[in-house]
Amino acid sequence: MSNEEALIEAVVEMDENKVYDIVKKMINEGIQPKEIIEMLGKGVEIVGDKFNKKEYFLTELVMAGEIFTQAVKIMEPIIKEKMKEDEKKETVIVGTVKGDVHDIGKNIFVTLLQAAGFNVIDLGVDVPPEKFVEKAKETNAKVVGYSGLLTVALESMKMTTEEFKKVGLRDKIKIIIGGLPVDEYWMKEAGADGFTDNAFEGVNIVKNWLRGEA
Amino acid sequence: MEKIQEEAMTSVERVLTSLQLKEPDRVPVWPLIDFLPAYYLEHINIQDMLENPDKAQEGMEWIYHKIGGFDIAMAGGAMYMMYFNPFPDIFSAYYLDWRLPGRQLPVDIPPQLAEKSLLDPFLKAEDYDRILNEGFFWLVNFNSAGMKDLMNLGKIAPKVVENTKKWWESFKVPTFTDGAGATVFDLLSTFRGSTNFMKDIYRHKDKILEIIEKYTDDFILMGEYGISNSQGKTILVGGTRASSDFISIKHFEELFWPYFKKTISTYVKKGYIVQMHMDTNWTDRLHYFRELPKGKLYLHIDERTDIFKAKEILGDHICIEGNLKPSLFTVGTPNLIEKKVREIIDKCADGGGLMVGSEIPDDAKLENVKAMIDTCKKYGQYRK
Repeated sequence: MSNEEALIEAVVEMDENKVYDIVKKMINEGIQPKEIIEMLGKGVEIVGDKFNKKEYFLTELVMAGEIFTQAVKIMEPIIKEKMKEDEKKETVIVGTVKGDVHDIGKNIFVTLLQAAGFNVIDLGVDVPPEKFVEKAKETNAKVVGYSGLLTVALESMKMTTEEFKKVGLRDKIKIIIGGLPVDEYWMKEAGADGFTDNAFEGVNIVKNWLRGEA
Repeated sequence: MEKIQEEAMTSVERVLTSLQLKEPDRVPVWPLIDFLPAYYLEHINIQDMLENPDKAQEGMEWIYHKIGGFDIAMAGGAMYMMYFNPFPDIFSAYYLDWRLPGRQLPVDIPPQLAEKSLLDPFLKAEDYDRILNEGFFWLVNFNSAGMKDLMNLGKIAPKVVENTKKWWESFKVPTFTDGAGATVFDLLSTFRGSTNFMKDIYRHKDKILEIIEKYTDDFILMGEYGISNSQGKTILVGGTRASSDFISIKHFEELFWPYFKKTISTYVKKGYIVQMHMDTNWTDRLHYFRELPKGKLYLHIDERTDIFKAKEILGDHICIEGNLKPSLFTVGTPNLIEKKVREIIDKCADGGGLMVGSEIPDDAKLENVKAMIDTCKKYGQYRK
């Protein structure tokens, strides 16, 4: 088994210490962090496939995201251009909308977006519409994600989209809404472009929008 | 006020008959109402529904009459007992970062739990050892609730007893949540934040198991604390985080099921009416519930669990209820709700063991809740 195969397998098997050992070994052998990150990404993608086939569950999705994040952290000292890289990445803004403080799904979405190579700005919970707009202006983000669990979140989602319209930004961004209750009706009401109750599927929607990947 | 239509059975008879998997006069209907009356009544706000048992009871009675009567209700004050419970519980404001109406939130916003899971968890992984040594009480905080609320429990409890009695004896309507139980698994997941806890399942499984083993019996006793205050008969046991929305069957078998089964079986043995409140998706593990005592339990599921599968797998064993999407009651229409309820009745009512119900959002439209009730009264009749 090649080092690459072993690394991918360790990610898929959730063997985190093995992942970190292989990553360290690869760094010593002079393999570029960018390549290692791609390999890790492949592992996370297989985990996602298994999740969709119901062989894996949310726990495994979360764990794969964690292993990815920690492995990247090991490489951070040697990724000197990290900041520049980040600037090149597409930016996605995510937050739980005003009046709602539920964030389990949102946090998983954030980790998976990072694993997929996006620069994610997490605004946290109970985020007022103006804050979404302000950040979008500041960062030129092309995708904004609203999260919510309570029915009051629908009203806040509507208000947030209204705020984007008010400042003339609505046509320049794509909006995805996420959370257990969201469906097509919520999407239409909230004036969004996409919806999901599944963080992994949400990442695929964002990938499709920004990179044309299915 | 609408006059409640006379029917062949009282709600108590109807609900108990369904529980025993026999056909009552019609399918019972159970809107799980928490704070909804406050949305419509000028003089009662959400803080009142939580903290003032008289106003909470008044609100519940008002809505009971307003929408034509339903088959299970909550006693005024029961919510206080839940949120100001001094024992480690998911709903206790002495633990976690609960934000309460009239305290951190405006008086008209329902209580909310901020999990803060990634940034600053309520419980850290290194705290597992301390729990093993000292239990849970060192985790108490007074951020949302204080000594005053604790002292108040003694004053509120007799009101809950009175209101519980009133529902059962005057209205002939059973109450729910006279007591509330939880598993150590769900509590740890909430205390750690579910994202952190899912990582812990891989990193600290032995420790988690040791805690679950050590404290399950204590948690079973804590569930009876509410009962001792309300002198009621029903215990609600919640489960959310061991479903297929979170963990694999392997982890479910190792960390959840044996202890959940012990909890439920103990309550049944003690003669309580047990309501299992299982949010999220349990479809792939419904067959485990056949291991529980037959004809003595309710299973509440939300829209993520397939109720038709539940009927197929559990129909001759456990009374089932649920599957309607709560947000429908806010954003849907009476027609849509009637359609969904009729489908459930058509496919699941045969032979009894069915209740129609849903959690009702705190800003639901009354005509939508009424549509669910009216459909059960109209189409849910059993022909004798």
